[in-house]
Amino acid sequence: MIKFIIKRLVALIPVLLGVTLLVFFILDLAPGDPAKTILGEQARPEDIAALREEMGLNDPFIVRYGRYMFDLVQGDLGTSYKTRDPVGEEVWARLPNTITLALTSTVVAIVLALPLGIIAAIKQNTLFDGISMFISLLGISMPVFWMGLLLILFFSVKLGWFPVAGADQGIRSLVLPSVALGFMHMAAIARTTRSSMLETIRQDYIRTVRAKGLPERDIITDHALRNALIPTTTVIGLQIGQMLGGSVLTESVFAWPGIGRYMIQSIQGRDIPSVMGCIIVFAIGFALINLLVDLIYGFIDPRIKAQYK
Amino acid sequence: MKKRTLRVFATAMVLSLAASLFMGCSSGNNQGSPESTQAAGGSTETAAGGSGGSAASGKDTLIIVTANETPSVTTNMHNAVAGDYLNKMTHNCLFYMDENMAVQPDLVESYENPSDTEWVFKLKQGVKFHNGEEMKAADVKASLELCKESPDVSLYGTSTGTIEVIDDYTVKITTDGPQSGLLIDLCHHGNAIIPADLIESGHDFNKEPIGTGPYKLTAWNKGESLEFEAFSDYFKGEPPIKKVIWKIIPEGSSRTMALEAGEADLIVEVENNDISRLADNSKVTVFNEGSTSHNFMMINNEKAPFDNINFRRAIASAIDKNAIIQVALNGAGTVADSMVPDCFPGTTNEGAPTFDVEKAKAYFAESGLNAADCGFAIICSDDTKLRVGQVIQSCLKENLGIDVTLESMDLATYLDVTATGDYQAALGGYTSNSLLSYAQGVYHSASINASNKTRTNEPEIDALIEKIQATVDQAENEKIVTEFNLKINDLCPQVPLYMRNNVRAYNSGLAGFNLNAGGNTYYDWMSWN
Repeated sequence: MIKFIIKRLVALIPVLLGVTLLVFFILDLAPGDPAKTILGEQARPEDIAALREEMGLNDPFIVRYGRYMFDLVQGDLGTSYKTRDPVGEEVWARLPNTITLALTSTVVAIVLALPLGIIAAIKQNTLFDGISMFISLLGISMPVFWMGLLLILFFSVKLGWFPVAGADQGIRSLVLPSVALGFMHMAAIARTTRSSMLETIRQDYIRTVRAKGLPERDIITDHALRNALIPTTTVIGLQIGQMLGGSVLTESVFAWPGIGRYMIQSIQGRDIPSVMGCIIVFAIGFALINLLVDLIYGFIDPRIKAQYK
Repeated sequence: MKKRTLRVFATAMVLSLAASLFMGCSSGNNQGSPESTQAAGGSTETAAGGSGGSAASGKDTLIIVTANETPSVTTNMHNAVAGDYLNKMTHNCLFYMDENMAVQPDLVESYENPSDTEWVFKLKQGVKFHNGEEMKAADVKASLELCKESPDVSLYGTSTGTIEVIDDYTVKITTDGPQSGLLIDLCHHGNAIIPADLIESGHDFNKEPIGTGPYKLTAWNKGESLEFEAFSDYFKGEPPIKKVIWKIIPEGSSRTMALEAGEADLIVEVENNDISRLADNSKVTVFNEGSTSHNFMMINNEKAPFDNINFRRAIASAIDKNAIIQVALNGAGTVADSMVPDCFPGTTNEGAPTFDVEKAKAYFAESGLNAADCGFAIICSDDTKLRVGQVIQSCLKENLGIDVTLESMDLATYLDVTATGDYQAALGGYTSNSLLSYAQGVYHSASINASNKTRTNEPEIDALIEKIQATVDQAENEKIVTEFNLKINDLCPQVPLYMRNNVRAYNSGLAGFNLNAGGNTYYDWMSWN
């Protein structure tokens, strides 16, 4: 198992190299001068030239990339063009918020999706199945932006239960963004759970335990669910990965100080070190989540665990 | 047995999570919020549920919501509006602009102007920095010189020439030739006064800004908020509101709802669509007045058909600017015809094309151009500009038969292509505190490849701008401004569209709200009723 984890972590190195090179190259090709963007429309050409020099933007691409990678291997994510602060500090300040939102949204998504998916499968082609799938369709169809505004309007402005925006009121601040984001991701998990359960409960071994007279509840929870969970786990892993970097709209509506919003602002400002810092954190996060998902497979299905070498 | 235990454990976990969420929303309704402090202080009124918030007596916190986070709070390291708002709280300059945009002494007690190039400033005595040191002439010299060396703000250091310390409370500036814009430049945050010894020692002003201003920065929660507390030794007296929190809420509707829910007291950027809704709320006051923000369609005068003066006049006369203000700004603006903001002394609308379809057709006929050959693309870098572009598109098609296409572009690309002249037309604007800086930035040939995006290159215009700069006498200066304004109105190098209003919405319990046309607000003037 340890060997498997080490192998996966080592495999991360070429992935990160490829990601950094690709992103650095694309940002370099993109039109727009970071110095002009920072100094604004009223800046004089000589000030723009001075700032370009100060930021090292006049050096060739390979020199800039080499310098960036040299600093990176020493744990330095560089200095933001825009704020002139270390990118590491900027990212670390926001990372806990992003992780917290991703995890709580995942909890919301799972708590809603698993029962919906399981019961929809058991009660296939009944009214409940229709309602469950309608709810999941609603989750995937409603833009998170709109859903967020509706939640604020009702729970914050009308009822006053939760704050409109920000992250300064602990768990109260977390509820609405988690529900908005979790509801969207619930749909994919519920649908996968349903189809996976439908496939599992038609297997021969389920028919066998049913013939042995086990109560239906035990058949579902002890025998069917465990096998049906493998595809669901994959989807949950992917959803968490998406939530790490793709919760920009939720962060904007709820003014949640996460990395997604920071990255978008950095892209708009052509702040290459900041964009790179975010991408590296996302890439590592995504890889670690995938690794975790692989390990969880082993706990769900011992046959898979035996393959970890 | 093991499975059962696991199931019970998992169920317990889910239930406890749900319980904690529920407890979080019921019992802790006001925990951690500034409003809870106020409630604990004896008031029974809470913000939640009270549309427009409370104006409870004893309230000592002002919560401001804004769309953008400043890149820096170091006065010489940014030229961002979001940062300027904050610097005005923590720092003072030698001068400031009052509600009527008139320059007034701030850290200066008195000043004299022995010749057109010499300025002697007597500083106020006993002014303390946040670290307890007294502000002296050496700090002024070091701060103004720092501004000159910093690319972000050096534009505002060009007029300050040579700075000399005469004694602890006297500074002399000798400018390179007469500089009528000197005092206005000295109002800019880039010229804010900071301690000389800290500049020398390389103090990190972004972590701990030290100025003489009414508030001290106490916390900067990146991406979330900035917190300030009143400076008890402020030389104009401790501000009535003891704590100010700036919250960053990028989404406009969320900002509006924060004010309605009582979680915020003041919105800096009010969504145009929300203005009338907020105005109808009795607990909210909406400030909606003119500004110096001049918005226009910039046209590349070096490219055909914009190199034809009659074509420029034709399109300037064919656009219904009132329709733009209604469609794109929801009424929060006024029509602009003059080629410069008409709010500065000496400016005039005379000679500028106004909306007149018949005149537009006449100008177009005089241009000798064919509508089919005059199609062009307008770059729009945000949603408001896109709506403005749609009105222009419709007007030019209907009135002159010209086909216009709209091109969406992100801000960084827009700045790049418009500065280098690689475009036909684009929607933009320019906000300035003086006619001189507007004229230098928008029309002087030295600003080509930078902010002179119409690429106007007229020696006569350059000479007039330089004359405005060199004329310190106010009455004489205004005459030259009028002469320049008439000339530039005649040339019609751009298509002026509207002057955008400054709009703010705030809790009606707030007294002393102030905002000048340049967008400056002084928070130490405010208090709670």
